[in-house]
Amino acid sequence: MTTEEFKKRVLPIKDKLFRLARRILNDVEESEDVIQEVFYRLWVRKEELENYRSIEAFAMVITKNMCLDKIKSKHYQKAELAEWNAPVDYHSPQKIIEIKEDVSNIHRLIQQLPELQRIIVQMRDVEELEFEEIAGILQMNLNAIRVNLSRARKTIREQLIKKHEYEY
Amino acid sequence: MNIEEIKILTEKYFEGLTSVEEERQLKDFFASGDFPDEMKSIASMLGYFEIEKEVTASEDFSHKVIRQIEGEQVIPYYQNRRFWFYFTGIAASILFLVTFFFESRNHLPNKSYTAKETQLAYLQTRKTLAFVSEKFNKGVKPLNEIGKIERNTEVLGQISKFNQGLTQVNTNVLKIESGMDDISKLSKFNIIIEP
Repeated sequence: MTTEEFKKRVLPIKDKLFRLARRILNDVEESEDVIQEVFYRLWVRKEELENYRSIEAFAMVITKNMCLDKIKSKHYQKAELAEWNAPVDYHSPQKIIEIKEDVSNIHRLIQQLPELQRIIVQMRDVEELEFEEIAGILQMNLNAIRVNLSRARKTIREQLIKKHEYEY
Repeated sequence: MNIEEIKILTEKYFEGLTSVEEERQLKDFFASGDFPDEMKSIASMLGYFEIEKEVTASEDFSHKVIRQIEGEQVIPYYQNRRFWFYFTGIAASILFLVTFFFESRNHLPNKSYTAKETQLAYLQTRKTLAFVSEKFNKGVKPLNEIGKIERNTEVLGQISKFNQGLTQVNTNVLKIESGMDDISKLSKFNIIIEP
């Protein structure tokens, strides 16, 4: 694979990988460091990349493993729950603006979920991957993924309802 | 899609039974903002996921990666600080172990001695120590001369007499000063007379 091909076919998945790393590590700078290392590893193995059915899935596996290793390493200090900032500006109806107010709350709720649930929510609800793809990346069976996803979604909903009841 | 269908889909969603397609329909529906209040929680969740999908790495990130793969920024492992940290540590441990190994081998008694041999070794050692002690005593003898220095310094006690002389000089100087005062009084007397 040439540099040009690498730029065209591999580099564009950077944001998806970054979002996954950020979901696990909860820190923007750490996540970019990890993703840079992921790309370096992909580049080193550029000749093998053609053999993988999906370069994206392969890259996500590396990203996930590196992030989890990082969390496990004794030098890693768990990041504080960072303040969430909306990346896009919304010009929307009143109800959407209310949603936006909820958004940093939801971010905090999700970041408090167990790592595995966080990863699955990220892959399914944000990146919209099929269950089969997630199962391939995480080396888990479909049912376990469904169960974890359902548990995560319900937890978020319950916490949100609790918060809404408290407010009104 | 009517609200009843949406409610059914929502229930399926929380059980993890919706397809990616159905989840997209839900997201589109709630993004319109036209939904009953009791569905606010799921609307917020799906809204959050839509926003999160737009999150990107920082702008110069691609450049960083390209620079790295094009070799401009590839740092060989041996220039890495961590490498030297581990390298020096490992080198020092190996050196220590090697030294320890050879030293301990030299000192290990690898055969036993007969009584005659030990007796011989004992006598030899005694002879050597006696020789050393004799030479040592001879070498130390000149140091006895240090006692003479002590005797000579006694003379320095005479300095106190010098001090006594000095105080006498001081009192004499004071007397001279008072005499000078008297003389200056005389000069005042001169000024009055002159005109």
